[in-house]
Amino acid sequence: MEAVAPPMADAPGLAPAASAAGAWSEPSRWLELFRELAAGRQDVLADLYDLASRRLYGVAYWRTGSRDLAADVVQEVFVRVAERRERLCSVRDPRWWLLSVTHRLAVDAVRRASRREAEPIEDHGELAAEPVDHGAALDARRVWALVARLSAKQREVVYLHDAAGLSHAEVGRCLGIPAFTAASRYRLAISALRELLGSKR
Amino acid sequence: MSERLEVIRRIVRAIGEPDPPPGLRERTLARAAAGWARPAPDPWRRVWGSGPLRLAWAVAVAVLAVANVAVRTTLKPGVRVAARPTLAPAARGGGELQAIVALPRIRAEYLGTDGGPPAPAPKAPGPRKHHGSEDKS
Repeated sequence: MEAVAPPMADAPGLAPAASAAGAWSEPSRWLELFRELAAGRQDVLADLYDLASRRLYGVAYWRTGSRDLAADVVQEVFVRVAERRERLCSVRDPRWWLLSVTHRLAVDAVRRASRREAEPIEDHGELAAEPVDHGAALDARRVWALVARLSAKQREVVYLHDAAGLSHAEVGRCLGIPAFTAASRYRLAISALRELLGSKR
Repeated sequence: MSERLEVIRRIVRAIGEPDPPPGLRERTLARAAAGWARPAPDPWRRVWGSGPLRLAWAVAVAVLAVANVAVRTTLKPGVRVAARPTLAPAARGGGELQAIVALPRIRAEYLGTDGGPPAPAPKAPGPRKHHGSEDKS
């Protein structure tokens, strides 16, 4: 598996995606896209990709910890969309449907990868832990190294809550777990981060 | 401590949504187009394609086959299994259990509506024996 350098804070495209977040909060647009897909308009797939890919890739990347696996997951999601297009009109909220499918496929991808390679995800170069310095120079690379020490479940919850800006209830809905469980998992992740910071001091 | 956490949260937010790698859009749309051209997979094929479901199906079939063989080998052909008389042990035990189950008659000499013989008078409760407290002297 290709070891990819972790994203840096000053790299282009790493700023919070304001436009994507704006589009994310418009359910009517998503419903319209799904209806058009269900009606047989294949060209709408490109619009859907432009709208959703960033967030779906983010979920997959934070869950799998691997760019390659995350890319595979995103492709698989769109294959599912294409194959099941006739049933898309019955989807109540396409955003949660897409996130749930992405989550499930990412879980499967991690399971398959671990079975194939028997290699913990933290051993990948892109998420390898490094010494952490809490000074002002605490950059994205080091935060990534820290985040890599969390479990995949915790990483995913932190991403969905802090990066994607979803509430705990929304995170729970996306992952198929109660909101309380999502909040508890998030709290555990944050306290784990705090402990990691403390132990590295 | 909370300031440090806030710093982490801010950085997590900042690095939160990494850009998809270049070329993913084309690859994804190409694969989706291929999926579009394929006929939708029927549910049975999807069940067959799922590893856990396939395993569950195989286990269920194996359990049924083993149970079938076990039943055939333990039962002789032509032998009917009689229903087990559940009250027989209680009747054989007589005494204490029957006294609990049978309702005492208020009028011992009353003939039943079918004109049968009068029921025996209820036994007077005798002194209870305690197995563990016999006088051993």
